[in-house]
Amino acid sequence: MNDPGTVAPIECLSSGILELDRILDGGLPARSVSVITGKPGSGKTILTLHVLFHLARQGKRCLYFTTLSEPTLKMIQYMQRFTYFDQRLLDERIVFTDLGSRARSQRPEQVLAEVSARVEREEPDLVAIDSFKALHDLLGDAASSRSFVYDLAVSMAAWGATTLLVGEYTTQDLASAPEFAIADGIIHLGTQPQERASARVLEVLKLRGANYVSGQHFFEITGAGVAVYPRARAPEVTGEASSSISERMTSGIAGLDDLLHGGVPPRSSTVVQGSTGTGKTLLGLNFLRAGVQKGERGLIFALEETPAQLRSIAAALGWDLSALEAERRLTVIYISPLELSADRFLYEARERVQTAGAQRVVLDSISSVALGVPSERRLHQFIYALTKHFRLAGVTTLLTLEVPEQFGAVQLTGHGVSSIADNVVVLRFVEVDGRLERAISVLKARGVQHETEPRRFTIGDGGMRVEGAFTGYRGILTGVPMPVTESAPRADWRKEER
Amino acid sequence: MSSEPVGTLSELTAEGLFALLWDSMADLLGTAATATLLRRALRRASAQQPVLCGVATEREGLTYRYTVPPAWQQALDQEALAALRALTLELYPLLVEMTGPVVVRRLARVETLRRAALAPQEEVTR
Repeated sequence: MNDPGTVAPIECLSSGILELDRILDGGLPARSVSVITGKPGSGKTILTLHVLFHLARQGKRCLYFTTLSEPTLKMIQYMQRFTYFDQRLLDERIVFTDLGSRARSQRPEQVLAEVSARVEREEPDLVAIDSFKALHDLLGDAASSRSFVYDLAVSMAAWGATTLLVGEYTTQDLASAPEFAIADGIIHLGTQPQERASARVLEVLKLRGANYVSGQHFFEITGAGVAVYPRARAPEVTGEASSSISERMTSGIAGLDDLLHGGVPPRSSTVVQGSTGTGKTLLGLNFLRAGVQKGERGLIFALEETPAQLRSIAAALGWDLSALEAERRLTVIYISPLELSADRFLYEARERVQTAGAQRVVLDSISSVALGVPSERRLHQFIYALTKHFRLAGVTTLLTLEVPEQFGAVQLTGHGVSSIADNVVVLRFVEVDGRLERAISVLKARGVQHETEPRRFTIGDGGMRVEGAFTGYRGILTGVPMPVTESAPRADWRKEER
Repeated sequence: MSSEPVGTLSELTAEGLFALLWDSMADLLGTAATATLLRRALRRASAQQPVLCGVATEREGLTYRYTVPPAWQQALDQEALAALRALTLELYPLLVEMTGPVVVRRLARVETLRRAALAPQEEVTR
């Protein structure tokens, strides 16, 4: 039995796509055979060429066999539209060669000999055959097909080449085609329907010897080639810095800090939930502004108001967001919820937070993020991953959540995400003596003492102010509190109920 | 792909040069595209060089083949070379239009085509 410390790591070839390398546990294992599958138009050729050009830039030699799929004439034309294309690498580091004409007129062993001869001549680090499925279809019976694939895999490995077999295989092919049994890796490109649109997804179905990230990962085809956004998942928490339980971060609202006995703990996540117009966004801006005043950088991901709208809201309270933005103390990032992909958002949000050096982040709002997430369960996972990633990055997060106002009922959680947050602050309208007032209460503050009694709060020229309790009323969180009369104290009612 | 012929220009034949052009293109583009692009270039060039009417490309079974005038099997003469040059003058702009500099750069590296002044010029490959 090998000592784990002496096991040689598998050498990997970078795909040139950082996030794909992470998904693959480092890249494509050297001298492995991998199949890239997907329907026509799924991006197989673009991904393969992206990898080839990247490796060529690293000084690797690549051999690309075209067969009977996308005509080479067109492939050559289209690949020049991507920024990874570099004609100086052609024939120096990347050699394109047609195999389709031979495959149509020669026997399989002749085709294999041709491939081997070319590999022997070029001694490439990477060989791609696109489409291998087309070649497979010309081979005829299963026995000769298996023999061909096996001999090819052995030949490529013996020549030290990493091989990509590209093909438009069906789900049935995965179970029957010999290339899938022989291959070390299978990368499937597909689409995932999202209402009337569809998102491109990449999934590693097999990769021998690698601890790859399973599941479907969102990817895009851009002018630069393929951009991969790993599926949202929580970070592996190791060596997380601990903070003193007595540490607090001010919310920027004195009365709210009082309810929380000083503020929210650093690196915690707080959900501020309430119906429309209760002041959630404003509370978020207050939180950021308070941090900026203490020298902490802030960032808001705005999915509801545009930056101009946010600046106007702040200006009405006498705050100059533009000045803070110009000094890079505050970053405002607007994302249209219509264009949102949760996985991409998580990836980009982490990068933005790091770039901005933000210590306080506001996501406004979870309700808008929900529009870009296919299921409530996925939203739950996304918020969990987001808060954990931010926590690990040392960020204190505030997330707003819109919940419908239901007078006469207590709405404590929306989308089931409040349970994920460390702290939950509830804002709501309350009808008192025929007037609509705002109430604020701390529903939950993980690990710290806090007041639970609802308080009045107002929004005026000076911003948000938390005032006294609703003395003389009960049932504040229902929105329609009842006066507490001296003749009928609550304890007495309970006795009566019994 | 056939190996590149060696020797002096006088030892070559027009058929050999055409075969080299065909093979170099087919190695990259396949025989179907090669046959079609050459046919387009031949149609344009044959107005100046009627001898090119004797060059034909056709599908045979699952692949493509070509035939050249019988005189092209003899030692290379100036008339055949001029015809081939007329052909390449029509062919290379077509290749650039279809594939950018990729294919013409490959052809420009073929030593025998260069010696016969049949390789793409620098302004074409750029």
